[in-house]
Amino acid sequence: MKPSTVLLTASGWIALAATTLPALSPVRVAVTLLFIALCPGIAVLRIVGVANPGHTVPHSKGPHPKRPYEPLPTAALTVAASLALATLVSEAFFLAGGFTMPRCVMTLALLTGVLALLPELIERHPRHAAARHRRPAEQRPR
Amino acid sequence: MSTDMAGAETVAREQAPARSGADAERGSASAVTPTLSVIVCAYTMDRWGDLCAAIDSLRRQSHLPDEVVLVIDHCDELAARSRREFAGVRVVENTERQGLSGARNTGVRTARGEVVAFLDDDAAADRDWAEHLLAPYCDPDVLGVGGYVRPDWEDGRPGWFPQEFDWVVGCSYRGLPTRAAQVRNFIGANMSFRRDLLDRLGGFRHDLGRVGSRPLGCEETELCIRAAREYEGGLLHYAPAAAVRHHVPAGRGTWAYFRARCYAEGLSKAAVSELTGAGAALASERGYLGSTIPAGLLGPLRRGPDHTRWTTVLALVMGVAFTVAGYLVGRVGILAGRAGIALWPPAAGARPADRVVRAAALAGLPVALGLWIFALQRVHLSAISDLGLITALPTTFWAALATLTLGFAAAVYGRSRFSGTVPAGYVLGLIAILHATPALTYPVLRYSWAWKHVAIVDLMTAHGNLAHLPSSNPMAAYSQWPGFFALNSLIAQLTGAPSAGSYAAWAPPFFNALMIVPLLLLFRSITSRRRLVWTGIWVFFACSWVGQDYFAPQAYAFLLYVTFVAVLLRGLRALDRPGARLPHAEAALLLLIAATIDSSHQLTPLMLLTAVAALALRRAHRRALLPLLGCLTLMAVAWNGTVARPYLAANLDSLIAALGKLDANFGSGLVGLGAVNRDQVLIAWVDRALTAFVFALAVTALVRRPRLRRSPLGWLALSPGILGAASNYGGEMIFRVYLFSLPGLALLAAGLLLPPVRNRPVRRTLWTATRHAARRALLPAVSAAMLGGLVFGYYGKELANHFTSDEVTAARYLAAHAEPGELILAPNDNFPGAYLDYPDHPHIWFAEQNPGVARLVLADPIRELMTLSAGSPNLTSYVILTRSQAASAGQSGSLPVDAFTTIRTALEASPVSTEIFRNADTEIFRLSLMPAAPVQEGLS
Repeated sequence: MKPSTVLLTASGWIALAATTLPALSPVRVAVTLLFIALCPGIAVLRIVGVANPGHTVPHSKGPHPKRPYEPLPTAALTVAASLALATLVSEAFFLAGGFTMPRCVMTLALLTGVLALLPELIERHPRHAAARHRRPAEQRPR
Repeated sequence: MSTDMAGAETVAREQAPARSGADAERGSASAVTPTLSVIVCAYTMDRWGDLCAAIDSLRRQSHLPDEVVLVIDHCDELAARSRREFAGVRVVENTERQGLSGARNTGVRTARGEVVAFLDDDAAADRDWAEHLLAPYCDPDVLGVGGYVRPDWEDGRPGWFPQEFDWVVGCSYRGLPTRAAQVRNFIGANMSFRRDLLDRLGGFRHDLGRVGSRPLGCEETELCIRAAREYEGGLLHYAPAAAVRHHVPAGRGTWAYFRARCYAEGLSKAAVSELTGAGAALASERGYLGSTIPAGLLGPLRRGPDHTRWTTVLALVMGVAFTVAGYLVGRVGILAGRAGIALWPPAAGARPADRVVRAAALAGLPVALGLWIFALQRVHLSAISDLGLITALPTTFWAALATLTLGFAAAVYGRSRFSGTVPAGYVLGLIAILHATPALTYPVLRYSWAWKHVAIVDLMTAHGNLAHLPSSNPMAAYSQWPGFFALNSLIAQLTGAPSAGSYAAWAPPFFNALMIVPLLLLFRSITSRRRLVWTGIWVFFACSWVGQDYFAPQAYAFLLYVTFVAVLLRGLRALDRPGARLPHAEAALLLLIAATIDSSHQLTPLMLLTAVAALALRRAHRRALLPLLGCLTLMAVAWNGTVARPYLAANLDSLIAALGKLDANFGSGLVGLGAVNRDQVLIAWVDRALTAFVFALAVTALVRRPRLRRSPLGWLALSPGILGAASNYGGEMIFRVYLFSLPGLALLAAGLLLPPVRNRPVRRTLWTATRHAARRALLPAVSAAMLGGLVFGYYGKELANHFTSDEVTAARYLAAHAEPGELILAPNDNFPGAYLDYPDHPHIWFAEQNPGVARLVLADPIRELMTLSAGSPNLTSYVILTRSQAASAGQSGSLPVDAFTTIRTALEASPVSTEIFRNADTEIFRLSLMPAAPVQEGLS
C-alpha cells in the first residue's frame, strides 16, 4: 500500500485527534481545515480516475488516450467535492437531529478511508486483475 | 554607430555665412595646414556598398587626406576583402573591446596625421569636406572641428519625421547653427580632433556605448565635454561647410525606430550626466527644448492645414516624451545601481519601452500593497457618511488601487511573458484591497445579515439539530436549506472557534480568493488567450459590486455554481464529436456539487438549471446535457418537495403571483428611490450606471467579436435574466441576475477591452502606433472607472452596515437581561446581535412590518408599542434603539429623519418606560407596568 493511501485513510482520524488540542491552536486549525477542504475530495478524485482506466474525455484535440494531469481542474474539483461531502454529511446529521462534531468527522473519516482504499481493492480483485492481463499494455491503468 | 543629439550651444558669435566663410577658411588654411588622417570604422559586410562609397568619396577630395585608416571591428571577412580591394588604405583590426569606441581608439593609435577625422562607414564626404574641416585648425585654440551631416533617405523622408529630430538618424537637425560656430559637441558621423588631444584624453570611453544589451551612444559628447574641461579656452568648432551625406536605411524612418532611438538617447544622456554632471550634459538640451522644439511645434501649425502637420506635431511631442522618459529611467537605474540594485536585468532583444513596462509590472503590486497598508492606518470610520465608506478612505487608498490597475495592465499587456503568478498576484492584491479593508479596520463584523447568519450557525452548534431554528416565515428558509450553516457549524467545532463570528469577517476576501480558480477554469475552457483570461478575471472582481460575498449561503452556493459551470464547460469542450456523452465520472462529480447547491440555497439551483438548459440549446451538446438536465431537475424537485416543502407551500401564492411579471420583478429593486436621501440616490445611480456599462460592453463584444459570439459566453451571461421573469426574490432579483451573469459578462467585456488578435502583420505607422497606444490605455481607464463605481456601490451603505463595539455590548446586555419570552421591539433588525437570542424572545421590527404600523408608532409611540407588546409575559417588552438602525431607516426611507428622536423623547417621558442601558450608540428601554431596574450606563 502506498504511503499516500495510508495517509489519506488516516487523515480523518488524525483530524479527529487534532480536535483534542486547545481551541484555535494553529496545528488544530491547520490539520482540521486541510482535512475538510481536501481529503474527501482527493479520495473521490482517485476513485474517479481508477474506475475509468481508459479515462473519459480526450484532451481537447488530438489522439490522447488519457487526459494528462491538469492541476487547475483537479484543485477546483478536489476542494468542491470535499466541501460538498462535508456539507452533505453534516446536513444529514442536522436533519436527522443528531449532529455532533465527532460523529460527523468519524463519518467523513470512514468515507474518506473507504474511498481511499477502494482503488487498492479494485486492483486486487481477481476479476479485475484477469481483465488487466487481457488488456493491451498501453491501456493498462497506472 | 553613435548619433548624438549634437549640442547647439553657440557661445561665440556666429561667423560669416557658410559659403563665404569657407573661402575665408581656405585662405587662412593655406598658411599652416596640419596633416590629416581619416578614420573609418566598419563592422559588417552588410554595408559594403556604403563603405565603398565612403572610401571613394575620400579618394575624390579636393584636399586629399594624408592617410585613410579603415578599422575593422572584429569581422575577419570584411578585413580580408578590404585589404584586397582598398589599395592605399591602411586596414587595421580593432585591438580593443568590440564596439565603436574601441575601433576609434585603435584608429587614433594607428593614425600618424596631426588631425584625425572620423567618417562613418555609411557616410560619403562632399568633395571639399577635408578642406573645410582642416581650415579652422590654423587657430591654435581649436581642439576639434565638426561638420554638417545631411540625411540621404533610402526610401525618401517620411512625411511626419520632424527635422528637429534628424539626430535620431545620426544627422544634423534643425536647431543647429547654420553658420560656423562654437558648439559643445559634434555628431559622430563627421568630426575631427587634434591627435595629441585624443592621446592625452585617453580616447573614447567604452562604458558609454552600451547599457545592458542595448547599443547606445553619446561617447563623443562625453569626450567633447571632457576636452573642453581639460583645455580651458579650447574651442570646438562647427563648420557646416564640411558636409557629408549620411545614408539612412528604410528601417530607420519608422515610428518604432524613432521611439526606440529617442528613448535610448535619454538613457545615454543619463549616463553622460552621471559622468560629467547634469549641468554640462544637459546645457544644450535645455536650449533645444526651450527654443527649437517650441519653434518646431509652431512651424507646422503655421504652415496651414496640410496632412502632415498634426502627425509631425505628435511626433515632436512623443519624441520629447520618450527622450525624457529614457533620461528618467536611466537616472533611476543609476541611482539604484549605486545602492547595489540591478534594476534592468539584461534581457536579450528587449526594447527599452518593454523594460519600463516590465519594471512597472513587477513593481506595481508591492508598491500598491505598501500604499494600501499605509492607507489602512488612516481610515477614519467616524468619517463614514451617507455616501458610505468612500468619505472615510484616505487618498493613499485610491493611489493603491490606481497603482495596482496600472501594474496589472503592464503585466497583462507587456511583451515580457510572465507566468500566471504575476497576474494572479495582482488579482489577489485587488481582492485584498477591496475586501480585506473592512476586516482589518472595522472593530466588529460588518453587515446585519452576516450577524444573522452567524447567529443561525451558533444556534445550530448549540443544539445539534434544526428544531430550535425559528420556523416563522423570514427565518424558515434557513432550516430548509441548511447546507452552508451545517458546514460552518462543523468547521467552528472542528477548529474550536467559540462562534462562527470569529472568522465570518474574513468571508468576503476568502470567497473572492477561492473564486479565482473556478473562474480561471471557466475562462480557460472558452479561450486559450492568457491575457484575455486574466483580464476577464480582473473585470469580474472590478465589477462585482452587489456584495453577495459576505458570510452567507449565496456566496457559498455561487462559488459552487461557478465551479459546476466551469467543470461542465471544460468537459463540453472536449466533446467535439456530435452526440458524445458526458463521462459518468464527471457527471457524478457534478451531481455531487449540484446536491450541495440544492440543499444550501433557494435561488442558485434555479440559476444552475437555467444555465444548463441554455447550454443544452446548442445542438452540439444537447445529447450530453439533456440527461444531466433531467438529473438536476429531479434533484431540485426532490429537495423542494421534501425538506423545503413547508417553505414553498407557505409562499406558493406569492411565487405564482410573481411569475411573468418581468417589469415588477426587475423594478422592485430599482424603484422607491423617492423616499431615500440624496446621497443614496446618487449611489443607486452609480450602481445602475456600472451595471448598464458592463452589460453594454458585453453586448458590444457579442456584436464585434465573432469568436466570443460563437462561445457559450452569451448564453451564460444572458440566461440568468430569464429568472427575472419568475420571481422578484424579495426585491433582490435584479442584483442576483447581475451576480450570476457576471462571469459571462466579465469575459465578454474583457474581450472588448483587449485588442483583437492580428493574423497578419500590421505596418507600423505613427497612426497605427497611436491607435495601439490608445487601445492599451483602454483597460486601465475602464477598470479605474469600474473600481470607482465598485467602491461606491459595494460600500455605499456602510453608514448602516458598519457597527461599533458599543452596539455589540448593548445587544449582549439585552440578551443577558431580558427574561425568556419577553418581547423585543426595534424599528428594524439592522444592529449586531439582533438574533443573538432569537429562540428565547419574540421580536417585532415595527418599521419593517408595514407602513401602517410605523405610522401608528410615530403618532403615539407609547400607546402603539404597548399595544404591540400586549402578548408579552408580565406585559414587559424592551425597545432597543441604535445608531445603525437609524442609518438603515434613513437609507431605506422606512422612517422619517426625526422618527428616532420622536420615539426616544416619548420613551424618556413615559412613566411605563425605563431606560435600562445607554452608551454612545445605543439606548435600551424597558416597557412595563411592573417596577423597573435602575439605569445602567454603558461601558464606553
